[in-house]
Amino acid sequence: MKGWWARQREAQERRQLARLDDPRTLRWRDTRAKRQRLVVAGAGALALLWAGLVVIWFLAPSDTARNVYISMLFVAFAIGVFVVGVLQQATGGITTLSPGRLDERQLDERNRAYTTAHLATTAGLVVLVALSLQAGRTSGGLTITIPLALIYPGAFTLAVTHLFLPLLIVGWRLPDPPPDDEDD
Amino acid sequence: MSAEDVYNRITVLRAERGISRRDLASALGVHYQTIGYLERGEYSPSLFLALRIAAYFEVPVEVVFSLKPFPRLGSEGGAR
Repeated sequence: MKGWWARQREAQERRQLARLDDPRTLRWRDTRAKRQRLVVAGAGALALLWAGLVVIWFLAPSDTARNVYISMLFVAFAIGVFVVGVLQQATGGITTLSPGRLDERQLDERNRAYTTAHLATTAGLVVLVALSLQAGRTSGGLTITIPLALIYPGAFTLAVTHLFLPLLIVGWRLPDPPPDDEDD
Repeated sequence: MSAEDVYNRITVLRAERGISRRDLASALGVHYQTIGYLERGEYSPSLFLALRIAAYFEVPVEVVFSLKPFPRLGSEGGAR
């Protein structure tokens, strides 16, 4: 017998599958060029979140830092929700559905996206370590001051990047789907 | 074309038997776009899927898949 969590997950996936064929968003995602534009917009939203951390680093604590960061967060959220929603439909839920609901081609695509995203986040972490070492070296001591306001937005930005990078990669790579039989 | 290309006759077999992509996909338990990507040569199937496709059409696997391009219809035995 399935547990509560498995039943919830199944119901959630059924709802997601029902939403995947929404024709209202088709004009935003029906060609590769359009999907790649969406990916660029999504990457821009992610970049905005990271830029917000730079604002916090240099200006926090201050009202300016708070106001600028919240504005950037709002814009990134508005773009991100749209891009993620449409890309989920364009990619057929490849990055979110459980493996049992995907065929071997979709699983291949998903693995390729995860591998590429892993490489990208590894490179990002290496840069972060290098920046930390540099900050430690230039501070002249064993202690550096990190604004507390950076902790939650930093964790949030890392989580969002980790979650949505594979979707952006799949969205970028996905070729145009073959025409339906009726269109052949 | 890369050295790893696998050619197939799925489109011909499907047309010959009047089977739609969605019907074939449903019978094989794959996404219908996967059939389209296979037909366009943009995806090479696993051995398991290749054997299942051949079994579906009730032909040996080498009738459906080949490492060399299939000859065009009418070009075989044209010298006779």
